[in-house]
Amino acid sequence: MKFPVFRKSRVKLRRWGYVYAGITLLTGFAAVNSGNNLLYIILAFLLALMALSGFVSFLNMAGLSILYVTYDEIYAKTPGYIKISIKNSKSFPSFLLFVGFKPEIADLHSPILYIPPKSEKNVSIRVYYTNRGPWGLNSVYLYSPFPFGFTWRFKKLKAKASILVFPHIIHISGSVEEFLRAENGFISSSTREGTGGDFLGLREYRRGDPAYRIYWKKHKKEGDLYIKQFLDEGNKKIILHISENASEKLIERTASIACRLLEQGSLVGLKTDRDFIPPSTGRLQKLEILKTLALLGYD
Amino acid sequence: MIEKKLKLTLYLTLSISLISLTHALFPFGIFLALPVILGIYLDIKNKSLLNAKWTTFLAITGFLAFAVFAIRFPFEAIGYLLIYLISLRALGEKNLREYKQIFALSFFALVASSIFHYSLIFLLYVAFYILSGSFTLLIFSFLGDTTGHTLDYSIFRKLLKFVLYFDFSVIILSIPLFIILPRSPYVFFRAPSYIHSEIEGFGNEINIGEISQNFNIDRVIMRVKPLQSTFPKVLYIRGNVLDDFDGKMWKRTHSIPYKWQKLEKIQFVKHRKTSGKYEIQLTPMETKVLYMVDFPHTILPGNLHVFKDWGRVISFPPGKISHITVYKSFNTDLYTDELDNREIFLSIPHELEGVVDSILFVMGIPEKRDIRIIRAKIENYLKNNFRYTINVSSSKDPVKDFLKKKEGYCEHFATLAALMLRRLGIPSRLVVGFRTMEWNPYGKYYVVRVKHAHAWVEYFSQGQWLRLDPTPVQVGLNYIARLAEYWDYLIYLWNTQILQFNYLAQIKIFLAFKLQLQKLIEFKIPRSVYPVMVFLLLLVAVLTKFFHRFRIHPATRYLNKFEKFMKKRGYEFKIGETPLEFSQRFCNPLIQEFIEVYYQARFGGINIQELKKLYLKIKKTF
Repeated sequence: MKFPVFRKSRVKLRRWGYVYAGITLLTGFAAVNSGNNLLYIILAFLLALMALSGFVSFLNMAGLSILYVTYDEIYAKTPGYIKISIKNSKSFPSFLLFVGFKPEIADLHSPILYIPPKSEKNVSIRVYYTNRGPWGLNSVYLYSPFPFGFTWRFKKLKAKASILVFPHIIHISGSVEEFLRAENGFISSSTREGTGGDFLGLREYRRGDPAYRIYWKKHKKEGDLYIKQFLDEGNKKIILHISENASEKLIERTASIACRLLEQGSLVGLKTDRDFIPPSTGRLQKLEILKTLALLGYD
Repeated sequence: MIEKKLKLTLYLTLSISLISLTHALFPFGIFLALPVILGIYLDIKNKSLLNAKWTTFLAITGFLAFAVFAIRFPFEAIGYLLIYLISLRALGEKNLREYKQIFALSFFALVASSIFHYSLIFLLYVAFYILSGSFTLLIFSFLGDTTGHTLDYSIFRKLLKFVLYFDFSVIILSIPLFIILPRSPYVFFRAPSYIHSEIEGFGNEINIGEISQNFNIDRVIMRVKPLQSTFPKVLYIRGNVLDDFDGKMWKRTHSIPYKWQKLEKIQFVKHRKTSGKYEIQLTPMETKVLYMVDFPHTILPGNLHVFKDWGRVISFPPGKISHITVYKSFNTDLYTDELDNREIFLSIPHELEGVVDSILFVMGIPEKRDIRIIRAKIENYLKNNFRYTINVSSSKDPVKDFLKKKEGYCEHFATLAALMLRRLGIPSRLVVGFRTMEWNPYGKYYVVRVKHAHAWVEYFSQGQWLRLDPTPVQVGLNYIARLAEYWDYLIYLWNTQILQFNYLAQIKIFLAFKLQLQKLIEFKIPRSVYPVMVFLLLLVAVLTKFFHRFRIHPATRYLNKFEKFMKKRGYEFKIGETPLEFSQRFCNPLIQEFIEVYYQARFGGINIQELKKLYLKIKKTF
């Protein structure tokens, strides 16, 4: 389906609307020239339906606002999803709404079929960003063909959200070392956390850590959750070093390597000209590294 | 994959418009529409009979065939072609596009049926079509724009509810639109009247007994509304005047050939005094005869052509309904100042002379032949000695049989009275038409039905034709059920207010509206009312504020219900205890969930329906 492009108008007539208008005009012509009051009845119904559909279309969009915008992980050059919560504060329900970001990014495949009165509904919108970094989301556009698909009506809603787009991740299928050597990356090694080596120590549980590594005896005694850290025989502690002026390509490579290493269970850290993230594992570490890389070069 | 729900609503819409069209084009239209039923059946089974090539071929062939038919009957051809195209589409392969085409064709079928219809039923067809059609449009829009999605029943129900409210608003809004839509006094093409019905017994030759064919037909011919305060209990409508009787048949020999004359309004008013004014609403008929309240002296509109000698009107404009106003003179025939051919009105068949003389002898006609006494004698004799019945078998000698059996109906009574008058040397003639006593109290008009067909006598006296109706009035003849009266009044309103609504009526409404608006603008509120108005405004403001304070949130309403319910079960809220604390006293997850949802509904803005469901669940569980 083609995404409708609006200029100044808030309403755009669709093909079905043109057909309906044509039929109405034809009926009107026949009624005036024949003086047949039965045709006038049909014409009155057609016009009333047209007028009320416009009013209902307006009412359908009224009282809608963005409650919040959330997202999980969005990577550049990769389709991602933003979750938008839309609140309907009027006493009438809203039907068949599409949410989009004018004009390039839109998703007409995730409609909101129904929002009851005085309630809210969430919708996941497919997005695609070409560059990493912080993106402002000041407004969200609501589109609706409701009720009869004669027109597209749109409404601009204030969002006031910012979205951090992580660098593009390249899929690394082979060995990381080979990839690093091939890409001339920087590597310094130390002890690395693993699963099969000697016991390294305990650390607090972080969201994303595997459950089988929780030290349950300690939890029973103290109540808090701890993770057992082991030295992996093959793995080492890795700190990735990247300059503030690094090219986009290098940032993408660094992010990809970090993700791959973290997937393999390595302790990965990041050092930039301004920041230093000590080596660690888990999802939070991954997000921390990606966030730093996403903001690299931005003030 | 097209959803069954869409098919269901679409075929419902199609059925309404097809019934409307086939109702008008009965019976051939029905035969053409029969394949649609097969098409619907096959479509439900996800099958089709015709592929795209065959559909195109048959459509083109049919179009050409109907184009030939259209040379003679253009409007019927359009109707039949539409039914034919719908049948082809129903039998062919279908996708969303084809379903949309079927929908468009169904609308054209409804429009086409408006050419043939004139009854109130059409309004019902349109109303149902709007209801079903708008819902179909809605489903088309949903399915067309949400690719890959299906409509679950909860959404379907919500849309249905929306459509009900929406269509009610459409109907309300369409009323003012119908009034204000522009109408022109000049009409370029007018659809002909498609009502093929004639009434027997009003030709120039009538066999006695012929009129009785109408006695069982309830169909309304016209509704006559008196425009003056006084009006007769019995209304006579003239149809034809017959002068020559051969013993079995009455013929019209007088004033043949016809002389048509266009009459001017002023011409009539000059000659006669007006005794009454009637507005006649004619039900469309295929007839050149316009039955008329006797004795008219002026008929409006003035472009009507009137047959000179007795006021039969012809050439009224063809159309769905005709409306005329008749100025009635006193009981006299305007068009006969001098009686020509007196012999025709005095002749009786030889074989009946003796029979009539013997009756007159029995009756005892006084020597001084005062017309008033003769009239009274004849009326009394016939009413006292003969019985009215419509169950009379056909006879070769109707007059003698009537005298023998002493029973018959209006034609027999009137014929005998005419013969008696003629035998006494008084020129007389038979008039056929309608006699009605059916009065609609709601619309204040007479209803003239086919079954009210009647015959009576007119005799010539002192330069005037006067009426003599010897047939006894039947008890219960004017009876109609109250419901039928309401229904008839509704039809009357439909005819007068809707079908005949034109630019003149529009101008009247606009002028009345303008006048009211002017009055409203010119209306000045007396200064003494100002303090009262200010007080009332303040009162409204204070009351609004006061009641606003007591407005309860819907979630709190359910909590209150829950509190009462628990109290009945022996669990009461302690003083100062919050709902959360109350729920923690129980280990029941349902109660805890209810309270949790209550907080979300009250402060988080989630849908109240979930809370309602939980409350009902608690009620059932405990």
